[in-house]
Amino acid sequence: MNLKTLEHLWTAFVEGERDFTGINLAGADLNHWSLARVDFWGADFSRANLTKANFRRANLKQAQFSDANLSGADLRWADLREAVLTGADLDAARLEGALYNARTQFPEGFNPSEASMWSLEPGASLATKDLRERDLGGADLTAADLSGALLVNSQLFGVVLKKANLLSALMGDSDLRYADLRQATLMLADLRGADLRGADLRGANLIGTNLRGCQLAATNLEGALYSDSTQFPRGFQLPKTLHHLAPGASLWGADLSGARLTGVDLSGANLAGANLMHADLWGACLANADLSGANLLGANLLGTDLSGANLNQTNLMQAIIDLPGERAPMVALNGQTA
Amino acid sequence: MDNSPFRRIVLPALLASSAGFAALTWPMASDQAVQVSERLPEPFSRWADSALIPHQHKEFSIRYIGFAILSSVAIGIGTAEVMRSQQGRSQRRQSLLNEVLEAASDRPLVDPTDIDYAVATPGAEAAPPAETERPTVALDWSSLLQGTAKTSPPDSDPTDAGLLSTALEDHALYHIQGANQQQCLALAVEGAYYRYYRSRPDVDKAQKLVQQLQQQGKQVIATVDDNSYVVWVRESESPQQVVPWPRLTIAQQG
Repeated sequence: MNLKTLEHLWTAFVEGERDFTGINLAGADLNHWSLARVDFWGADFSRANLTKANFRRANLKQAQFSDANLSGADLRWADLREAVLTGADLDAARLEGALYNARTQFPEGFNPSEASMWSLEPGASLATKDLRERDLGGADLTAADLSGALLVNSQLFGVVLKKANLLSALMGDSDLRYADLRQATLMLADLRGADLRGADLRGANLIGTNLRGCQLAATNLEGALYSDSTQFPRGFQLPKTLHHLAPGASLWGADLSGARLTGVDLSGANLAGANLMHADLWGACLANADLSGANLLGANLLGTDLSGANLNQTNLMQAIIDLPGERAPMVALNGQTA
Repeated sequence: MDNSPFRRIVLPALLASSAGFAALTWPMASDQAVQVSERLPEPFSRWADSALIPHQHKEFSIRYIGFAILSSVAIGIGTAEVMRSQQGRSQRRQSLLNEVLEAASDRPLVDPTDIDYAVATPGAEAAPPAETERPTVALDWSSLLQGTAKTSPPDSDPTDAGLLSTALEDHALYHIQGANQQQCLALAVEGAYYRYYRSRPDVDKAQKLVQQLQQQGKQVIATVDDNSYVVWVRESESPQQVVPWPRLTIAQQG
C-alpha cells in the first residue's frame, strides 16, 4: 500500500465511488473509517489498522485480513465468504449476520456460530434473513431454507437453489439469470421484476408466486407447478409443460416428487400413476382424487383429506399419516396403514 | 509558500544577481585581492588583475561599478528566465504524471507489461465437454485492454471494446461439481471448464477484474450480454461431475 492508493480511496470515496474491488490497502491505517456497503471484493487489508472501522454490509469476499487489527470493528452483515482472517484481531468486533462459508479462514479458536454469523452453504438455514442487495452469484445453496428471506435486488446470477425452500421469499428485481431453481419451492414468493432469463425452474413450485414484470425468455419451466393464484407477466404464454394445480386437474403420471404441496386443493384431481414420493401434502385436500397406482413413498400426509380418494394400488410405504382419534402420527408400512 | 513564484523565481534571481555583483566588486573592496590573484592560475589571475585596476586608478572604478551593476542585473534576469522555463517544464511534467497516475489508479496496481494478454488455452488433460458443445469464440482481451479505460455502459455497442462473438448464448453451459462437492455454473471452451466468478456491470470493471485475476496466474475469459459482463475462471482440476445445462425452452413473453 502506498499513500497514493489511500489518497485515491479517499478521493474516490468522497466522490461517491463504492467499488474498490481488489484494492491494496495492506498496512493502511483506517481506524474509525466508515466504509459501510463498500465493495472490497478481493481487497488486501493485511496488517492494516482497522480498529473500530465500519464495514457494515460491505462486500469483503476473498478479502485478505491477515494480521489486521479489527478490534471493535463493525462487520455486521458483511460478506466474508472466502476471506482470510488468520492472525486478525477480532476482539470486540461485531459480526452478527456476516456471511461466511467453508473457505473462510478464521483466527485460531474462533467460532463463527458463536459470533452469530450466517453460513452460506448447501442446506443452510437462512429463513427470514435479510440478504437484500447482495452479490451471491454462483453460490451453491442447494436445499437451503430461505423461507421468508429478503433477497430483493440481489445479484443471484448462476446461483444454485435446487430444492431450496423459498416459501414467501421476497426476491423482487433480483438478477436470477441462469439460476438453478429445479424443484425449488417458490410458493407465495414475490419475484416481481426479477430477471429469470435462462434460469432452470423445472419442477419448481410456483403456487401463488408473483412473477409480474419478470423476464422469462429462455426460462425452462418444464414440469413447474402453478395455480390460479400464480401471477405471470402480462401476455406471457404458458408452456404446456407446466402442471396446473386445481380441483379436478389432470395430473396423470406427473412427477411431483419432493414437491411442497401444503394446503393445496386437489380434490377430484386425476393423480393416477403420479409420482408423489416424499411430497409434502400437509393439510392438502385430495378428497375424491384418483391416486390409483400413485407413488406416495415417504410422503407427508399429516392432515391430508383423503376422503373418497381412490387408493387402489397406491404406494403408501413410509408415508406419514395420522388416523382419526390418534395423536401421534403413524407411519404406513408395506402400503397398509398401521 | 513552497510553490510561490517569489520562492521559485524571484528569490533565486535576486541571489544570483547579488552573488554576481559581489563577485565583480570583491577585488575593489579587498586589500588581499592582489595576493589572491597571484595565486590564481591563468587565465583567472589575468582577469583578476584587470579587475584590480579600478582599485589603483579610481577614475575607472565608476565605470566598472556601472558594469558590475548591469552585469548583476543581467545575471538576475537571466536566472529568473531560466527558473521560469524550468518551472514551466516541471509543471508540464507534473500534469502529465498526474494524468498517468490518475489513469493508473483506475486500474489495479499492475505493470501492464507484466500482464499476459493471451487468451486462455485449454489443457489437454481437461475432460472434454459433451458433444453438443457449440462453437465458441474467446474474448480478445488484448484489444479490450488497449481500449479506453473510460466506462462503457452495458447498453453501448460491445464491439467498441472488442467484445465480438462472446455472448453467453454462444457457449455451452454446464453444472460442474468440484472437489469441495459444491456445484456451480460453468461454461466449456475448447475442452476446458470455466467456473462462474463474477458479473460486472461495465467493461471497465470487468477489465480490472480480469487483470487482477490474470496477475494471480488464473486463466480468465468473459462473456457479454445486454445486462453485464460475466467473468469466468478456468478450473485447475477436472470437475468430478459435469451435467450439461438443459436445452432451454424459449417461452414467449408478450
